Amino acid sequence: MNDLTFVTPEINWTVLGMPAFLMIWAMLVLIVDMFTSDRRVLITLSLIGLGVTAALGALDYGSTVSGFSDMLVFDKFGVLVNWILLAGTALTLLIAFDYMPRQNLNQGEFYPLVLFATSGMLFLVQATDLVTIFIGVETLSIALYVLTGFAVPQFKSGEAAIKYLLLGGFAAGFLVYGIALIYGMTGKTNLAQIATELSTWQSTGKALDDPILLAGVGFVLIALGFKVSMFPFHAWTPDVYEGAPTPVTAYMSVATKGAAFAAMLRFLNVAFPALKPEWQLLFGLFAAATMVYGNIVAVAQSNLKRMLAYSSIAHAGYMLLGVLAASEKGISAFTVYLLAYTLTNLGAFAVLIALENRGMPVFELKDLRGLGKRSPLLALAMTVFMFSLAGVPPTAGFASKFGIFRAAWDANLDYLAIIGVITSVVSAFFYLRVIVTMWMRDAEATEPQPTYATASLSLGVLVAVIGIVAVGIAPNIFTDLAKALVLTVAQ
Amino acid sequence: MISTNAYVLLSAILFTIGVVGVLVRRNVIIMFMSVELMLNSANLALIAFSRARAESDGQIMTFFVIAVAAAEVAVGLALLVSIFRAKKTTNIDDVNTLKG
Amino acid sequence: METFLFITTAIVAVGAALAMVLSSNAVHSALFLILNFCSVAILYFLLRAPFLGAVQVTVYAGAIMVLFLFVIMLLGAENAELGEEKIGWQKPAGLILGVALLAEIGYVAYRGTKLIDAPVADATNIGAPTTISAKLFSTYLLPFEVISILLLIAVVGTVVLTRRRVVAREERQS
Repeated sequence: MNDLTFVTPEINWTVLGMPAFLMIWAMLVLIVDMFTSDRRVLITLSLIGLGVTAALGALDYGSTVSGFSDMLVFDKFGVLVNWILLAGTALTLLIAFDYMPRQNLNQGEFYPLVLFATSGMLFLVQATDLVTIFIGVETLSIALYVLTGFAVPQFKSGEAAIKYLLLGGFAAGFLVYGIALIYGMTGKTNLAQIATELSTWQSTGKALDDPILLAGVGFVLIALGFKVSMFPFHAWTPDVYEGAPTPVTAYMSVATKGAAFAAMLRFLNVAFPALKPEWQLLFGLFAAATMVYGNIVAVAQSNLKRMLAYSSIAHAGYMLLGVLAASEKGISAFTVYLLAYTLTNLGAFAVLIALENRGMPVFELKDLRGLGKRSPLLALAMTVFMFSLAGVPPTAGFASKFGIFRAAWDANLDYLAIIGVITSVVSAFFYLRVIVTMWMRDAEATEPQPTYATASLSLGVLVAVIGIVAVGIAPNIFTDLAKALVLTVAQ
Repeated sequence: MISTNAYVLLSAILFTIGVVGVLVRRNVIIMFMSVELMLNSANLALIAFSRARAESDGQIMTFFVIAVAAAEVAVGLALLVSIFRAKKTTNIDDVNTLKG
Repeated sequence: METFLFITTAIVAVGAALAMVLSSNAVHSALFLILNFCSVAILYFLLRAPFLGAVQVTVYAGAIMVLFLFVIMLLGAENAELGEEKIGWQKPAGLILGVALLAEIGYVAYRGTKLIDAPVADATNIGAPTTISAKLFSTYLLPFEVISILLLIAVVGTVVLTRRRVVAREERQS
């Protein structure tokens, strides 16, 4: 008989704190939901949970701890990205608060499901092992499949969810196969240990460009590329974004991207710095294609939700630049970009939600005509969001784009920086078209369309506008915060 | 003893069949089963590598993959059921979703 | 003996997989997939993973595929084509990917013995339930616990998606 040697693992609460607290809190909200159908209680509880989770990150901010056989790490980069994700989730809940009952989506499970998805994202951001990366990706994905299909049988929610689920499962297949190949070649799943193993290969003269290893890395990146809707793997994005309930679309377009990019950053920089020339070249091409494709196709869209979907593909391309730069500057620029993009995109979707009637989505560009007269404040907010997405100076969009392009330029990815600037100019066209439509065209409809700028939604929009202007005017506050964090990732 | 290469080769063939199945077939349920085939072939590769290294880590990863696959199947089939059920009652719903 | 078993099982696995993808009836596909899972389970036993072989048969071929069959029959969805629109890029993309993966396979086959193999004696115990559980509850405790959250999400999601919306209907009629 073999004797069972069992070592009780050490539970490190600092490392586990943020995701674990949010998971437990989500269960609590789920239980409360059984006893009350008052959604005000649920949203208050959810917001408190998000706030406490953020505070847990602040407690030990600055230290770098890893635990659970080095599967999870607590570092500045992780906490900062987690804060952005938590802020994005809070905004999502605010803009969804009145939308869900208006569209007959009363189930209280919405709140715990969003919290579960977010906790999966926090887990993914802190993951430093292929096993935890896989589980983080799947936790957030499964919650998102359900949220996408939340509006069945309305709209195209069910079709969107099934499409998302099939392509998500497809990506999961690539992820697992990639992990299998990397494990097979290096014998490790821990990111740092893979890097060590590869450096022993280098010192013993073993070739690093082993096709099986490269295929493994490629497969993992394909899977993460699906999640961030990078160019050749973007095909699900417009349909899923169009069919999902609008707040869920808003949430997916920012939070999933942020978490998956953070995982990609760790994967490339911690495990495979040795293969940097290879992935920089290959992913440079993908990034260029993503920026060009997203922006050019967005020009042709008259449906606003689809336009924002393509614009989110384009923005994934810009964020990819920060990941590829693989420098301290690049990572900090990525974090700032993620913050700016989160605030801006959620704000833009919030305006769409304010215009969305029960059962009759207002998504065509022409529906925005005369908004400047009907509801000038909403139109003003939308103007700020569009300027920020286009990257016009006093907004966060400009400051963050500038940082990304400069980081790419300094990392000798000058061709990408140039493509980025050119596509930004192209993108200004369709963002400005929205502004022109709102202010300069008169509504043709005889009956005035109602707007639903309720208290919670207005609060969300206000927070987003203030954030955008603050980051735009004084980007240094956040960039300074984002500076030193980088070392723990890039080592 | 059969070499690890043979097992990895087999798993790669199964994976390819799964990938082509997802992309080429249009029947949702068969696409879904092709995804399961992909995960299953990845598991085979993991277990083969696990034996090659004489460690159980690959097997434990497989364990997780099976659990995740089960969760995904449950959600996916629930979605299918609710979509199909909704299709039968769509007409009534369409009438009722008029503004107001 | 082992070689014979491997070759037979491998042929059955590949044949069942092909039949699964090519079959036009979803019920037949599901049955072929069960055959594939069972033959892969045999390979797990050959690979010294008896515990996972058993899990494969009970969970995968048993629970998951029975769920599939149940849903197909419940919905009468043998030939269900949900998305009507054909996505033009998918077929060429599928073929290109297929070719790329086949090239990879060819490479693995060509490279012959380069993948290292540990001596058999070292690998005898790796698949025993005791070994697996000892690792699962120490090194892999964190992912194990998070998997339970993931299953909880799936359960909640399933309930949310399939619950009939009685409340919503009543509200609409009023």
